[in-house]
Amino acid sequence: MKRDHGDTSKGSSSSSTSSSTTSAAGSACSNLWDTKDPSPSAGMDELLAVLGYKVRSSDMADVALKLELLEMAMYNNSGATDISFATLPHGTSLDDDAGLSYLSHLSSDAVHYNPSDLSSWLQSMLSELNPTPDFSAASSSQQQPPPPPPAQPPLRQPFPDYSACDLSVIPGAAATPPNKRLKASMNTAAASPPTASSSSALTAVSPPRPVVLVDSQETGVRLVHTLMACAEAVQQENLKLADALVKHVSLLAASQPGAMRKVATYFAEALARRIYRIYPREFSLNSSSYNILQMHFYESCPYLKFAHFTANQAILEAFATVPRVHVIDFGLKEGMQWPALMQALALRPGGPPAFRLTGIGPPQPDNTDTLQQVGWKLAQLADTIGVEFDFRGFVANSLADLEPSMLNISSSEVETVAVNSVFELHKLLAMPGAIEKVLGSIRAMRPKIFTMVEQEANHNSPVFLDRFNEALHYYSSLFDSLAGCGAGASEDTVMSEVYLGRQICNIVACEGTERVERHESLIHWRSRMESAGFNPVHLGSNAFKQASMLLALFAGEDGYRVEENNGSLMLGWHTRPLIATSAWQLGSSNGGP
Amino acid sequence: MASWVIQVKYSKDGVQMVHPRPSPPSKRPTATFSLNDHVDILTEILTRLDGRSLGVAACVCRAWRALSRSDAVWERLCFRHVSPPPPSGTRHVVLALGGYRKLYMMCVRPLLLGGGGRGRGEGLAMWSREGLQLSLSLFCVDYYERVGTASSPAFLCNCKPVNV
Repeated sequence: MKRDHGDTSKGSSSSSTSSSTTSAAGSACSNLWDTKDPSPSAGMDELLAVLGYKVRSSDMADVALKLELLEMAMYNNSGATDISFATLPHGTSLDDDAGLSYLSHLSSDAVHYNPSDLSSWLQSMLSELNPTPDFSAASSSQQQPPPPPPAQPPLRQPFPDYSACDLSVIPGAAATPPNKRLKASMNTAAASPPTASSSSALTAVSPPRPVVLVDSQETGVRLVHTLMACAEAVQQENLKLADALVKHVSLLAASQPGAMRKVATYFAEALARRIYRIYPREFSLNSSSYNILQMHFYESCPYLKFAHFTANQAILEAFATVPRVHVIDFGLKEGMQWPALMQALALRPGGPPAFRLTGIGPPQPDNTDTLQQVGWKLAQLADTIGVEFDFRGFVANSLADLEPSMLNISSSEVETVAVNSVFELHKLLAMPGAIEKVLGSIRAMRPKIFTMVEQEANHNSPVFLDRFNEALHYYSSLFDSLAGCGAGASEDTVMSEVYLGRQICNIVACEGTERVERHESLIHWRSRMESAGFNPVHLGSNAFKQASMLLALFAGEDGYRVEENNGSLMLGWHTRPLIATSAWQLGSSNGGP
Repeated sequence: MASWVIQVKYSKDGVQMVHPRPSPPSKRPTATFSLNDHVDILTEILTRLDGRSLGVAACVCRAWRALSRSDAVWERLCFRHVSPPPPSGTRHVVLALGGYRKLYMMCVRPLLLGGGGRGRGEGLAMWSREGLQLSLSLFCVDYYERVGTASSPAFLCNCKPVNV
């Protein structure tokens, strides 16, 4: 049943209520009223004409529909009610999440055309409400065959077909093929098959943006655009719209092959977590399950191996002739980096030095002593290959809690110190002042070399949308490279994807001190290190050669690229660098023993 | 007793052994040369073979199997084209980590073949000192992963972790 539009400003509302009943009366009226129009339904013109509106009878249903839409648009700003427009010709029900808060501009700058010509006036009103949409996300939904017509009212259906309005891009969203009555002003973009949702038809967010008309059938592109639209909605706190878009993303993602689907799924999940503010404790990046996931990541692709081998090469060169060495590892995890270094030290010309390792790790929730276990394994290995070994473990919630004096570092005449950090420093950016404190601690340790491996990406912008876009591109490359490794759906690959998914979740869904995956690119780290008083050390050609040979072991080797960047080495997938290794030594500015 | 005939093929990729097969029972006088009696010559030949042929040789008989599996043979294979000879302690390390045959199969061969097993033959063109170091490192990492599941000892190490 049509709703009572009693309180609208449109005087014809009463007639729209009665339009269904008056259509029969219209023909009766036409007999009563001697109209100029010979068509039998022209009589309606007269009834409304009395009220001052000129409407063709043939347009009555059209006008009625538009009135309904306009009313819904104007009266449902916050989308509290779920309006079911069962009376709409094609029976779609409107999603109340229109989030139609853009109406405010109507009161100020809408241009109203001649209201007596009701049909075109309504058209102008509705097109005001749908200014040129900014995203082609609407056209992104073209490929999907629409879900069956909404015979089930509770199902949240996408928006009705606005193709009757003068929209220049959105093809319309009818869950059914577009009603022929509304085909009057079908635009070119609507030539594609009807879609599952034009929820993005109403992403008419202010300020309006230039139209991007995407005619391509690439759902991948549309998927990306929908993701970005959702992120933008989240940024603008338009959570209802974002929620609708997230569901749409899941729908689109199902049609994609391979890496794109997985990336989209993880990002959609992260966005959903952000919208609903759910972030499970098990996703903490300090847990032992995360370590296990990282082990799979280690096996399935070369990034971690590259990190370890290049850092080890720098440390090895710094340790070339010294008798006692001490390595401080900021994130011991499973200690996978150190067997290779110990083997290289064992075969060092002149014999192996005495090797001392200090490993730092987070506290484990079940209080198991993982650091000690790793230390024991390394000690066994050292015994096997004949290297004198000593291990100490430190449990710390954050690197900023460390004091150099705790580490019991001997003076530099006795032992040579190296500090190593693989994917640990960016976590300190979550707390103000932490990174400076840690860099100061490193200086106090007086290392001969400090090796650092970080993700080559900018995921720490204060603007959520920028972070999101950067992360989307970065992790798309990472997932591509995982797929390109040729490992198929092996357990390692799957677990690596889960590992990366955890990082995605942290970047997208968290804020404040919980958001620890604050990646920054090498340029930023360089300036930070240099202002803290460190000088860069060039990683030599040996490291480069070793890295290149390492890549030959992986099936997707054609895609991986090792690049040298001012003395640092970067490993990337095709043209996109993904991780960067750099080495630093103490500058002489704050020098002095 | 049938004698075995070895056919040895010389090519630019090295020496390969092709289909050893027994010769027909000798009609000639019994002045035959039985290779199995001359282990040193056999070893010399085996050390010049490539990895696949060594595997084939190990299937011939028990004597050959024992010889083909000896570390000396595989050591020669691993270091065949490395121009500066490897450091002196290498043998001790490699033997401790599992032996040269394992080193070859797990680390050297994949590096030579490249790309996870693509490539035909076992060309040694790319072998170099860095390759050797890399393969040794990978071998060590692999040992660490294999052994890693061993249980902790009954006593803890004397340095307890400090909770910061």
